[in-house]
Amino acid sequence: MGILPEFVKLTRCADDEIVEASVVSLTRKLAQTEIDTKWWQIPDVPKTKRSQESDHSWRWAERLGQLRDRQWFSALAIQTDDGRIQGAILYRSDALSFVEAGVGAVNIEAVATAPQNRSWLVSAPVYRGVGSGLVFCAVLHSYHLGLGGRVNLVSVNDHRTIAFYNHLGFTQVGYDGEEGEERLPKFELDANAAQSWLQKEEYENEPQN
Amino acid sequence: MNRKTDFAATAFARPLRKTHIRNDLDDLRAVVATSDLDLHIVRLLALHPTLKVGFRNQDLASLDDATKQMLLHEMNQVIGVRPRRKRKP
Repeated sequence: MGILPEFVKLTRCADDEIVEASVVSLTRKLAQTEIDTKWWQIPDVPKTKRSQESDHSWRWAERLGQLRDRQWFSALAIQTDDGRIQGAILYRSDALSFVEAGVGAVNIEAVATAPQNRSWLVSAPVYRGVGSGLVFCAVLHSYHLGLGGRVNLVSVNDHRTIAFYNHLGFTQVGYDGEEGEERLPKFELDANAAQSWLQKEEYENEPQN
Repeated sequence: MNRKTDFAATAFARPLRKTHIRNDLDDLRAVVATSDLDLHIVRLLALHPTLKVGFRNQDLASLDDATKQMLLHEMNQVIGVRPRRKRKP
């Protein structure tokens, strides 16, 4: 049907080769066995360093099990040929734009690349391009849902993450946080930026019948 | 983009504020979609009130895949979505 990409291209860090990886539906079972159980098994990295990662405490399978309004949520993962999950994303399609009143958007609740792919965490990261590939899936889905490709999210307050979203074309549109809560930056990719990204990734309109 | 910044954590522990969730949509909790295509059509119907006029009474369970694809094509035309595909090398 083509609502989502079937594959994304990743860069294998060891030899800078481009490889294709599958975009798959992230089930609770897959999240349990391939993310919650395996992602943080990186013995070369001290526990203190692992625990400093903002998503170290995330439990993907548990969150997927909690979802109400399940029909509005999508959970996807990027899986390489060896069966390993290189990154995952959870988003909902019933959100509103942070900046355009009354306009629909896709909201990303969670997205992360596997710890083994983080250059600041491990000495030899395995793949690059996982995070951007996942966010692109949300953009394409937003476009096909008639939401113009608009995607938004509340980011963790981390310079590396903020730089990531800026590079993707997101704009910081304020902060989220009520009294007593940490203020976290809100980002949105507007329809124009989404169109630019789709074109850059060579996604073209299908010919009309 | 600078691939060295390939990280994408979000505020996982903080649910989206209710003010940022649409309250004008049908409750889909009871909907049973048997395929990705069905779910996509159901979501489109809920997201775009303009589609409800012409397509609301469609019983997806009674349609074959080719008819559903045709239905989706018509719905896309109404809301102005031209599906995109990756250009072939």
